Amino acid sequence: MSDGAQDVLDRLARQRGDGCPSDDALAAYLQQALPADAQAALDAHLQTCPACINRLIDARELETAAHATEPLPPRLQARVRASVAASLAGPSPRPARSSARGMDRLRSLLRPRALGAIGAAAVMALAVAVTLLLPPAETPPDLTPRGTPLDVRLESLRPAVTPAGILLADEDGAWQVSISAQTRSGVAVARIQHPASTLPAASRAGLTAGAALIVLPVQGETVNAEVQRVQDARWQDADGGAHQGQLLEFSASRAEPGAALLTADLRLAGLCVAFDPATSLGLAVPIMEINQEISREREKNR
Amino acid sequence: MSEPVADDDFPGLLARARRRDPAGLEALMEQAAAFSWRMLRRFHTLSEAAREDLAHDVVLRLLERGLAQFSGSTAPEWRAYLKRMTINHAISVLRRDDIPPLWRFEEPEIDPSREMEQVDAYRHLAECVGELALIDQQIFWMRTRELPYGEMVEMLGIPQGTIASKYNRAQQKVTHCLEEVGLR
Repeated sequence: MSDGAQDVLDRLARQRGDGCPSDDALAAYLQQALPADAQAALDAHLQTCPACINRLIDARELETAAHATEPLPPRLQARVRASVAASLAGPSPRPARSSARGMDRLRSLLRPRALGAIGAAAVMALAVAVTLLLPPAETPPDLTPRGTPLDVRLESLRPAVTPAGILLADEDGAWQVSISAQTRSGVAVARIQHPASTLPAASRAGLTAGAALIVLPVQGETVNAEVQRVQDARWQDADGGAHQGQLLEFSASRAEPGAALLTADLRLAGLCVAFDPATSLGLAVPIMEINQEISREREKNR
Repeated sequence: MSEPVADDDFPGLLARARRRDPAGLEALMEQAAAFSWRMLRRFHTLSEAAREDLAHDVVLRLLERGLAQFSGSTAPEWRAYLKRMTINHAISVLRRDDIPPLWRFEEPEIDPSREMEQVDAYRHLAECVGELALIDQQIFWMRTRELPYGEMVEMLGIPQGTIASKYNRAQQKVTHCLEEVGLR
């Protein structure tokens, strides 16, 4: 069939005329729930109305899909349940693209023992670090892994109420993002330190005030955070070294314990973090994106 | 997974989910995921992992705002809402990733200078196709929309061989109708 003929058929399939029935009437027709005379009248209409036949097919598809007994894939079912649990435990979760491959990758990168000791601020800071390295929401990340795998090391793991530091570095240590985080009367401050001269601007533009940051169960408790303020900053470390980066303030509150597995989905960065208190495994999915940023930047610098 | 909900029971389930009753919300979201998952089968160019991501995205959207924004109350309205949300999201992802969709989504334009001529052609074509039995017309349009035979069997309750032979006859008739309006 020619493209022209196909175009005409496509058009014909959508061109509604006068007296076309409502969607509800079509659904009732399918279920044979209409009075006999209405059923017959609709039969007659359908006979000469390709658009309504196609609407009827739509309705049939919907009916069949809604009443299918085909089981959900177990992984999808687990994700749905985790999202519902997260939603019930706190503010609505943020939509995010997620990737099982990314989860598996990070599962292998993060050490359960280390994460078991990490406090709320440190876990949040990890999410902040990943978030700040990702492009803004307008350009959702391509989760296809490329380039050299990124090694993630966690340092200075301390309870949530004391300063905590996390180091993200690639294999040769050329790229580093270190984070300091502390809580003060429910407000945590994270300093994102990076070699600002080489970090792509787009990767720093992810967070704005008012963004819901994360919902994580930490040692049985769920922590909700909301970004209060983001600003560029310069500071010195304990050895007198000068740094520049971003100062991020977020409020943190605690909610009721949720289900065994809760997720935090960050729309801003396409980041999905899940933390299982039973196994102390934390999963931040699109960490591959950091890897891509690094690879792209290396290409540019060559 | 919870069993599919009968249409008559849907308003009760919706009310429970809106009250954030845990079992009700979970059941409704699982139904929605199953529905989206199934609708997404028609996008043959999507990988299984991508289908799973998209179905999960639909659930996340519902949890965030979609459930609150749903203004209907009946099961058919909910299905239409989910279908729209699922397909729009799938299309946007396909476009973003430059993956060709299975079907054409935009309506073809009518050339304004030939509008009357084309309207006449459509009318004639509709009458010509309308000479087919209703079931044959449905089968023709289903195949034109590239629905797999397996789904057609499920939807129509007719054996695949019967569907195939009816489709062949319908296609011949439609080809004849197209020739009558100068298309082939």
